[in-house]
Amino acid sequence: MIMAVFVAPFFWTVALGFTDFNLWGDPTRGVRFVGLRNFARLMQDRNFYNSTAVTLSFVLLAVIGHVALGLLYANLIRVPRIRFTKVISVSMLIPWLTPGLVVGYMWRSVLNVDYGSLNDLLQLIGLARIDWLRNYPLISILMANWSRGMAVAFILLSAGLESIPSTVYDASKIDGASAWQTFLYIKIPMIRYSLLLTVLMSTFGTLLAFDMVYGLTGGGPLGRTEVFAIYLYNEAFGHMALGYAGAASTVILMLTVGLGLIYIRLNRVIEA
Amino acid sequence: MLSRLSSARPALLHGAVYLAFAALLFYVFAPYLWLIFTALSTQANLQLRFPAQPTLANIIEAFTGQTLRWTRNSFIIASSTTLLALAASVTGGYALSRGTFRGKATLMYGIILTRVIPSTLIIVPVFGMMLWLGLLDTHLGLVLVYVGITTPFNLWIMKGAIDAVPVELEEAAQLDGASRLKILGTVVLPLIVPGIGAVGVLSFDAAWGGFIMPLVLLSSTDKYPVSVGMFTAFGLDENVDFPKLATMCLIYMLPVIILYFTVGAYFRKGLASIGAGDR
Repeated sequence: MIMAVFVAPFFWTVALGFTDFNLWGDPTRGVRFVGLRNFARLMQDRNFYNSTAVTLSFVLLAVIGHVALGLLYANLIRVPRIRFTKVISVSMLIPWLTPGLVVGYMWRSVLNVDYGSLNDLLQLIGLARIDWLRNYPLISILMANWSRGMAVAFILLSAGLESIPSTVYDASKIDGASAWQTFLYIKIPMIRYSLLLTVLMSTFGTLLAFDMVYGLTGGGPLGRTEVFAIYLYNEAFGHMALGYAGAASTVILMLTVGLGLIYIRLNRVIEA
Repeated sequence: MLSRLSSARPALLHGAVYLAFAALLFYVFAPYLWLIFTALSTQANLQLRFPAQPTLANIIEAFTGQTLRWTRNSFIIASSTTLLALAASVTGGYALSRGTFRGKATLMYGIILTRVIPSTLIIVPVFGMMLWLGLLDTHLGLVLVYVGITTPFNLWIMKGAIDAVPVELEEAAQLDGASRLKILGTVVLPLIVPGIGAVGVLSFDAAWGGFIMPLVLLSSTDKYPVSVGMFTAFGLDENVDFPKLATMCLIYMLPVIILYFTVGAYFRKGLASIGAGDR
């Protein structure tokens, strides 16, 4: 079963990359082997380079946002005698449990230039309204993505902080460490595995995200949010060029594997 | 001096923390408020505003006609996926946990590998495969794809859950003359309920929430799940039927959230057992 649905498509993708399989030509003509032509075309495809740049910046900023927000709130709910921590923990989960498509649609309302609630808020504190979706599309999809992705970071990092024995804090207090020093020199090193796992989960959760971006910007305006998944979808089912999309999938897969190898290396480094 | 510091700082600190909490609540819930308000109104745009004349008409209308059909489709797809995924992962997980066969380690690592490949990358070949099998535009094809996508991770959960069941219990049943299948059903199954809960929730969510697969594989409007059916709210010329869209968004998201907060305890326990059973 797994072989049929996962491993076979994997080889099929690679194989398709060498053909001119498409959905618009004469169906009786069959599929022809075209060698490396798709890959050569891919190397000159400005849309592909654009998509790579968009995806990498999106993933990088998304992961930074998830870790920052997750770390911030995982620490805040552990401030002594603070209340409403349960409310915060549950609120964190809600966007994560919401389908990406719905998050995309909802954020259309938040970011809309004429009616959006974020702009209402900006106006309330005396700032100008901003056409987020037109002028700052990458920031737009990031804001929606952070709200959705911070939950995983929050859960993992909370668990990490939970596992630090309280005696460690007592010791650092006796040594006269400030809250900031405790955070930087005790908490961070002690939760480094949770941190790396968070970065890993965020990276691979964001790298081929489709639904949310599709719902919010559809890849626009002018390809400025055309992440890998949107690019692949457009090539395969917009331009109906399945063979070409197969070649693109293969290259993206190699990038993904490369990233995976970097994480394995990092894991070894922090173990040492 | 010291006492002044320690009494002034917590108040300031707590104030800052509560401000951060308030910011988070706005950040998280402003979009949902819009969604709920819009679903309750007849005429709405992208503005966050409580409807002048709140009405349940949209929600009542959603239980008739096409929206009902799409909701039913989503349920059919998600529950068939869940049943098949459970069958595949309980039997497969049992084999991986108890069996000793050549290439077991390779198989386990192969399963992780398939987990790393994101499903977005396989839409092209899956489409080709379904075209070839004649399963394009059928629920069966879609369900098979979802079972395939969810099975690798499910197998790991199930293997972990079954690893935690003491082998001695099974040996006792074996002495009484019970068959393998009977042991699995009567001895093992009751002890892996958390794992079953986790696999069930994950598979149901994957199939219910999936969007790109039905978008690519299904073409008749009658067969759409809610996620794809929502598109009909988008008319021509940027004319969006927001109340309809918001209502369908609610139908689409609520089952997932309800499942998490009801069966969620199993979900978390089952997930925790992956680590526990790691030998």
